Amino acid sequence: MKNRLPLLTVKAVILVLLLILPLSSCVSAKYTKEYYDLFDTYTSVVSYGMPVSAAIYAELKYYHDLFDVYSENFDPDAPEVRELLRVCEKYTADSDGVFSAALGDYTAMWKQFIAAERPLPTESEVSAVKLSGTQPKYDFGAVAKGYTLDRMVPVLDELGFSGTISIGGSVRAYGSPKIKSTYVIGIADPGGGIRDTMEIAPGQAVATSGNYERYRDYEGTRYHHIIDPRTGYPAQSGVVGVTILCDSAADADFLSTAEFIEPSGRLLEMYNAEAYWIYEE
Amino acid sequence: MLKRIGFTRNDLILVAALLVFAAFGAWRGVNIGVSSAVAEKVIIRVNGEVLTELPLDEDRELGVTGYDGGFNVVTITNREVYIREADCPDLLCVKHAPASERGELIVCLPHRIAVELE
Repeated sequence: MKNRLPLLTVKAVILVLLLILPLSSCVSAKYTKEYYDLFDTYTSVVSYGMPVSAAIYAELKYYHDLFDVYSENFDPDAPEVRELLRVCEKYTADSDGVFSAALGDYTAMWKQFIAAERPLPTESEVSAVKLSGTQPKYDFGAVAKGYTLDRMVPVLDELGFSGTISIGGSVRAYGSPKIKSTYVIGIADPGGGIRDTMEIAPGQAVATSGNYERYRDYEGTRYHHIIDPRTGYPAQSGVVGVTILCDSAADADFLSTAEFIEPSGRLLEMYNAEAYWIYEE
Repeated sequence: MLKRIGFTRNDLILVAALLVFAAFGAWRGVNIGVSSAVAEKVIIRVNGEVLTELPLDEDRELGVTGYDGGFNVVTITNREVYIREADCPDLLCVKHAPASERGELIVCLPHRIAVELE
């Protein structure tokens, strides 16, 4: 008996190792998801290799509160807000005014119309906003999501986070390629289903602007939430959706808005980004 | 040589079977990572917590109460899911196109209801 024990042990070890083999390939596909209502949209965190840390929600909430212009605690002099404003100024200059963070009066008006909480704004009401000359009301909706995703890199790095964070149509991938090297992002077809997919690596971001999720069709016109600063009206550019791939989530956010309003593609090279277009038929 | 460790012929058959199983497992593991587009189930969350998971291939309709008491009707039919009715202010969830593929998501933000396909 004494002599046989080591031999059985060797056999047993070999058999156990063989059993582990098929299971090990499944480990890397395991992820956990958490969802939050932040930034006036649906925010999700997908974490690979570890549960979603509570610190991630805390950080997202921190930025949500900072950039929420409708909050009574909004502080335009907060350092992060001033920095965001500085970034927005550059975006406005580079896009020749196609992008603007000063559209608060317009976006509030159109948001109410989309929710059927007010009648269709008249042309004089829209012009009145433009010509009023008062201090413009800010709305960071177009860029706060991507900007936050970029700002979170150091915190997520420290947490050892690998995965993606999506805030509305803005997504960024983070972490070690060893845990997961690519993430598949689906591009929605406005009529339902997934039109196409793209793969991003940690460090890359994707942002989509489209007129098929927040809109109201009224008397033959689609009024949506992406306002053209030059007219005060929802942009009618022939674009239904544009998805931008870029290394900066803030840039991707800005580009998706600017290129939706003015689809020249001119800014893509300047910002080292790629675009996927969906046009009106 | 294996006989010295104590492997019998039956043991070798078992090892061969396990190696086939391991190879199959490794192949399946790779396929899971690539994620095919075919959706299997509808996951309904309220305020971030899973309320229920339902098979996409069984037609049904259910009422979902949102976190603030709001009410939505989720309809699963013909391997598609959509929100048929809701009492939220903007009805964006009702306007949303039906979802049919893995990863698609329909959200009623005011009620914090999320319908996702996996």
